[in-house]
Amino acid sequence: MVRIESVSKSYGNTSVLTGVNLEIAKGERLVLLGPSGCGKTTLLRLVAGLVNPDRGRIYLQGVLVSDGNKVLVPPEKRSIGFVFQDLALWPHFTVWGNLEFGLKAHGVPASERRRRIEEMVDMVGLKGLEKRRPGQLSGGQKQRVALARALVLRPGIVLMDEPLSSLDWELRARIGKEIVALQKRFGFTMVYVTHDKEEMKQMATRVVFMEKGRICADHQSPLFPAC
Amino acid sequence: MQQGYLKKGQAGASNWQSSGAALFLWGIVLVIAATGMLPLFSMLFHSVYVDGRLTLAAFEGLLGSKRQWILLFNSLGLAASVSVFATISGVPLGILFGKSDLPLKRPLALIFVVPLLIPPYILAVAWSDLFGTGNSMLNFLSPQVLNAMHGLLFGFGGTLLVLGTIHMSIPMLLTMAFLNTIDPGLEEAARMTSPWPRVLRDITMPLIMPGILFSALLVFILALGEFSVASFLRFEVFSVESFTRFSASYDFRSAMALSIPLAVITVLILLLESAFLHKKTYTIAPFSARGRGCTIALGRFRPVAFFLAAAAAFMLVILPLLGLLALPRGLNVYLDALLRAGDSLTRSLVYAFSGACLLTFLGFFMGYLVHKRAIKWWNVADKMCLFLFAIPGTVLGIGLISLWNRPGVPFIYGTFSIILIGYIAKYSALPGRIMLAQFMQIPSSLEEAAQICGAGWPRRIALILVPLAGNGLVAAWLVAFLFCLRDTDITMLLYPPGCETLPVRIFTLMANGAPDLIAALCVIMVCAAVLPASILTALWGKGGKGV
Repeated sequence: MVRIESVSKSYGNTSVLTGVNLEIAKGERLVLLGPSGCGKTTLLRLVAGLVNPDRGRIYLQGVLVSDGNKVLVPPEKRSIGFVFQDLALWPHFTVWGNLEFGLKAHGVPASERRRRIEEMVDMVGLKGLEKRRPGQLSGGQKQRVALARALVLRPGIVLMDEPLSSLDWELRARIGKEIVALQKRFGFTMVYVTHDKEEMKQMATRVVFMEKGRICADHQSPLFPAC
Repeated sequence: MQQGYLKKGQAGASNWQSSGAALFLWGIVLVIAATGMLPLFSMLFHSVYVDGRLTLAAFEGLLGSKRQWILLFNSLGLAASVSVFATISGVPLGILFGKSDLPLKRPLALIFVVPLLIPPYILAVAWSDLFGTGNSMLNFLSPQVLNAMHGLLFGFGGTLLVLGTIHMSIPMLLTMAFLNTIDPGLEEAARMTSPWPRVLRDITMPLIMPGILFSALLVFILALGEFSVASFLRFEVFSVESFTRFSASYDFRSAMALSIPLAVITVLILLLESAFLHKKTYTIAPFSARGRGCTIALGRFRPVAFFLAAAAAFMLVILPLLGLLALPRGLNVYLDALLRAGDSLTRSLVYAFSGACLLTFLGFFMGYLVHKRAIKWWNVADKMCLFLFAIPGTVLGIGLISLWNRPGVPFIYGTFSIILIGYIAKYSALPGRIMLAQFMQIPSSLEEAAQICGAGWPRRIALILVPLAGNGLVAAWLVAFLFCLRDTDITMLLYPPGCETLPVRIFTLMANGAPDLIAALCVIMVCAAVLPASILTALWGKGGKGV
């Protein structure tokens, strides 16, 4: 599903990723775990196409999307869902507007848009909140809107960059369970970035440990190796 | 259920949207370069290439003349003095208005900003009228005293007073803006052990010093190029000489030669700023979206501080403008003024409106491309806009004439299009910087999320960035409108027959027009500027923090 070959990335004189190789199979829930500054978010953004690698290649479902610092397929064409750390909900759109935006951009007809949004709103527990703006929602509700927006386009891959970091532990546990349930239901491939080991235990079918821009361990079940 | 996989055949699809965006942004930069830089190169070329050969004759005459060196010395001395005056008075005001619990801060700040929003010579006219014998306001003073004060006004002292008053709002506003960028925690930590004066001296001031120095340099550059005040108050400076050589003597080559030193000094100052201050002053984004940091409680000094600020506002701004109001006796003078110059006022408003629309459009994309570093040499484009803003209007005006005054383009040179081109060249930095500050407050993830959702660049701009940058757009438009409205230097040189604006009409009337008529026209001009400024102030109060 996702293949990353010898990808490196630097910002100025600081090397953020060095020779990273990673293959992610379809339907996996892969957690990228590591300390702050180890390159997890950068790796995610490279897969999304928001950032170009300096070297290396990225394939999404067998299609070469980035080759060196050339972006061959821009982010809007990669059919990826992304849940940002700050959620990135558009404050001037309602919940409905936030979900509808991507569907309109893809030319989905109005009736189909309505059907998908209603289905998604029901699934993530946002019924009755469609007309509210993000400023009028609680933390957990905003989180659900961000999730719904990423999923409404039915992407094959969903990338999540520490989406629960701003929530309290109870809400984190609850929404974490909901994310896993949605993944099992939709069957998308999930790449989840966190530095929290409890989240890792909850989410992962596979854990990749990163440190200083490199992958130092890759496990099919959540263990805690020395890095 | 799963959809949205990449379709076969998408490999190798060119990312034409980002290429298209880059091309568009390059187009924006080229428009500004064509309007501003091309005329300057043309002027430089024509000043050294005469009758088919290279010659430095115009410069030899310039350098060999003692008078020109005196003029240059006068210009530099005046600019330095204005910069010191404006900084010494503007920075404490900025701290008072930006950091203390002084009452009525916003109206007081607006009063100090008013002189910056009107054609500069209007304040000079106002002072002259205040001390004039026909004015009823100060008739408790003896005619000898009034004459003496009137005499003191003309020359270096009066020019310094007027230009200093006009420009002190620049350090004031920039101080307020830079105070907003300070992490409140730094000051709070210092307050645990020290009183406010020490905190200001040892913590706050060092942090905003680059901004203060930048504002001082900016005032220096602007004062160097200003000619209308020095011309009215008969203080001989380079920019006046350049204008006179062109407009009175039609000595185009000399006028161009006289413009070059001013341009060179501007470049040197900007290089200085770039070398020592740029990285420290580049970003003026509020530290906290919640609002400004620690507030200084003035306590028992509050009435004193208020009195001093209000007295300064009254003496420097309100008193002379009241002098303007006192001169025209009766409403019929204003009606007469409107009848005679109503067409100029209409033209001023129309040109300023058109200029503001164009500038806001260009400024939006300039701010975007600098914020995103969206094209190669984005920093060169940014510097270019700043250079064009800093360069004296007379220099730019002469450059535009040298480029456009030729057969084949009467639809440009013979119409108000040439004035709009001048506005674009001179003022594109202003909306650009406002939009840059606005974009810095919009999390980049909002545009990225839209891109991930499938929106191309035009859609992201129209549906995400424009709505989110609304406050900034309005502020950029208002600032552009005000500067176009007040413009004298460029319009004076470029206006085609029958296309003069109100500032130009007033300036030309000053030579032989009736004082009360001129005063009435000045009052009308002030009112035309204060209204949009009040809207801008209201916007500032509503939380246009990037503004």
